[in-house]
Amino acid sequence: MDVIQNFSVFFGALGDILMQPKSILILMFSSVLGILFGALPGLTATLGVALLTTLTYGMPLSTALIALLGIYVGAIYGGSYASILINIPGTAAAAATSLDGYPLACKGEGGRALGLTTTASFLGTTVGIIALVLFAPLILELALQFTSYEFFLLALFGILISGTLTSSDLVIKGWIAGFIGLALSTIGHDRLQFFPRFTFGFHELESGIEVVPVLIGAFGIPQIIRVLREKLTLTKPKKLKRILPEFRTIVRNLKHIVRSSMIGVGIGSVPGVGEDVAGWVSYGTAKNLSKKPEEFGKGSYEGVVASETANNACIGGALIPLITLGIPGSPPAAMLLGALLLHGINPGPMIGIEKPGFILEVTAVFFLAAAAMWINGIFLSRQVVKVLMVPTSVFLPVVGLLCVIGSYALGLNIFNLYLMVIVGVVAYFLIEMEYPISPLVIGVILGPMADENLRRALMVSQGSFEPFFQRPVCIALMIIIVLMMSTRLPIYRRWKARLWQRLLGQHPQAGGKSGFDFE
Amino acid sequence: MHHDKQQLRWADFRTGLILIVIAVGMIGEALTYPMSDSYGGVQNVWYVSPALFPLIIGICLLLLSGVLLTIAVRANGWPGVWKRPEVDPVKKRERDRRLWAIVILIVALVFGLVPSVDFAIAGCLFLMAFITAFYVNPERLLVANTGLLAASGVTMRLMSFAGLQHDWQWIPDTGAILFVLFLTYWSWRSLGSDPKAKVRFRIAMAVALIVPMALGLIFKFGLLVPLPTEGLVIRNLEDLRYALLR
Repeated sequence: MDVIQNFSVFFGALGDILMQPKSILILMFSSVLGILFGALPGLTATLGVALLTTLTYGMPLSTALIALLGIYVGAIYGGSYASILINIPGTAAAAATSLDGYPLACKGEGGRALGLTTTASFLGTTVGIIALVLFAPLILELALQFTSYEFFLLALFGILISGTLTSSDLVIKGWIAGFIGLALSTIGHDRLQFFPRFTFGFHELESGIEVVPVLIGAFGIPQIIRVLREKLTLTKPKKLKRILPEFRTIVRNLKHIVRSSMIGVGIGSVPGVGEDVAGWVSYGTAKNLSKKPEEFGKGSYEGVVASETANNACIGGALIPLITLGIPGSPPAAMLLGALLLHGINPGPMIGIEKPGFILEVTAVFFLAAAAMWINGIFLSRQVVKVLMVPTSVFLPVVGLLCVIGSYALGLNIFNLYLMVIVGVVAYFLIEMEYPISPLVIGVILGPMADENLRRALMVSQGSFEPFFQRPVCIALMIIIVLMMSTRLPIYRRWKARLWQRLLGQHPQAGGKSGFDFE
Repeated sequence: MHHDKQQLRWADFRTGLILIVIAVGMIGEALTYPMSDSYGGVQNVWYVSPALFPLIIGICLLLLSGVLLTIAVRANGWPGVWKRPEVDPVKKRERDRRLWAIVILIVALVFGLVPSVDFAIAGCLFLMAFITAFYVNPERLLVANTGLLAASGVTMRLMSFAGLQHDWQWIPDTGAILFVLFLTYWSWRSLGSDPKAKVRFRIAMAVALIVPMALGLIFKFGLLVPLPTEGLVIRNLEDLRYALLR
């Protein structure tokens, strides 16, 4: 498609939505819902997308996209409310925001901080949209050259990198979580020979494990248990004054917005890593590059802008691998992938051929979702703040009921509820032992892709692994996987430490631990 | 070593053992799948076998679990991995009580009430028990209301196993309504003269009545999704809808 055609598709999609009052209503409603999900500690963007997936099942794809992207963008931004006003991050993505947001609110500048984060989040999302438009077609073109060899390695890469980057304790816990997800994905009839695997006589398992109940269980149930078990009580939110940010404040912070957006897009495009990592990395970078690093943690606008811009820019980044390769860039994007599959859309290299114009349609909806977020953020924030006073022990049981009806409604199958509870309780214990959940979920989603493509690849090569070492993309992916894993091995750390010692004649600061630390 | 890390390594040792059992089970089960013999009239070769991928995952999981065990043993020492690091018993008891209460409440809803009782009634009973136990008066109601919901879940499930569904659906539904009434009375009685608790109780009542009804209406009549069990409330609402729209 040429540029003019692209523009016409984009503006056509924009116009279609704006001409329909119903679509605008859904957009605004889902955006507010997203902000509420983000603002309420205990609810997350992923859970919001998961629960809304159920409601959008019967809708046409374009309407479902409006609702899902509306809630996604709104929820990532909404996390800043609780961070700034009550010092409890509404979502993990907004955790870094509380470091400077709350001190600002204590100084009576909560409204200004919120106004600035609203605009910064909007600008961050816009940069994410631009990145999506620029890079997705390029990656799609490249991905069209991929065969089963590359797809198998891509799936493996997605799971392993997600496991590596999201582990807070030992890195192998991330890999184990990924392999548990892969193990779950093997349940049911295999797609090549239709042979029933691990069904143990339960006919409900024959069609495999449904992704949505697993996602709702893995993200919803642990959240309910964790918050209520720890007796999280919310303090009274700080008062808001002026919310609309001054133009010069935005101009003054423009360079932070641009830098943080780049960081957000970059981190978002790494499979399974997500908005929380983007927020922290951007915050850390802003602090390191700041002329006044001593102000960070005491109420610095730079800090608030850095984390909030990055986490929203991350959405665009996360959509790039999701749409072009079928690999979700973040946990909410994983849920979005589940929703797209339910609507008969198979994201991946063929999307440009099967559904031409889909990327531009997503871009148009994404842009409107960002605009709706800004409008709601600026004009409804005083009302949203009131929701922060709802006790967690009242709304979390309601969320529990929503998880139940949400898991049931997609397949109309009681068995999905049992699955949701079992996965949820197991996920809770895994989280308690500091296993990340994103790799598990990504494993469940990418498992069939890895299984099918590995066997297809071996079928083509008559059982030979040679082609894996002959194709450039395969070699690059294998090098990245090996490097990523080996840099976590104690032997590498010892070697690095020795090298530093030899080069600089110094004692290494890190990496000297012995044994299997894998941290 | 930091106490939390010690605790984690203690848990890692146990998880490692469980994962090894799972991985060995997975490998054992996968080895029973056709590897090179014929299945469905097709002569198999190892690289298209349905066992290939589960075997790879099982082996990787086994290796990783072995590493996890090794890390745990190296960190805590052999005797240390068997002995649980000390934790504050009072805090632990309180956290465990809340954990198991939540799990029991959700399990009772999903395994007991939802498959056997009208969704609106099941939701009302669940929310009433949950919110009163955690919000209204946790000190006195946490254990009692969790137990009551568990008892109602078991009773309703037994009724459904006994065939009290479809034409007889009104029996478990009425039973669940009686449980709701008893739970309401029981929770009200525990409040004493505390005005704050009474306000909380009214909020709990409102949420427990409005939310399941609203969800039932949205899913059944808005999204046209049949609910897991439709009985006294949903069926009557449907009859009412037909009567009004006829």
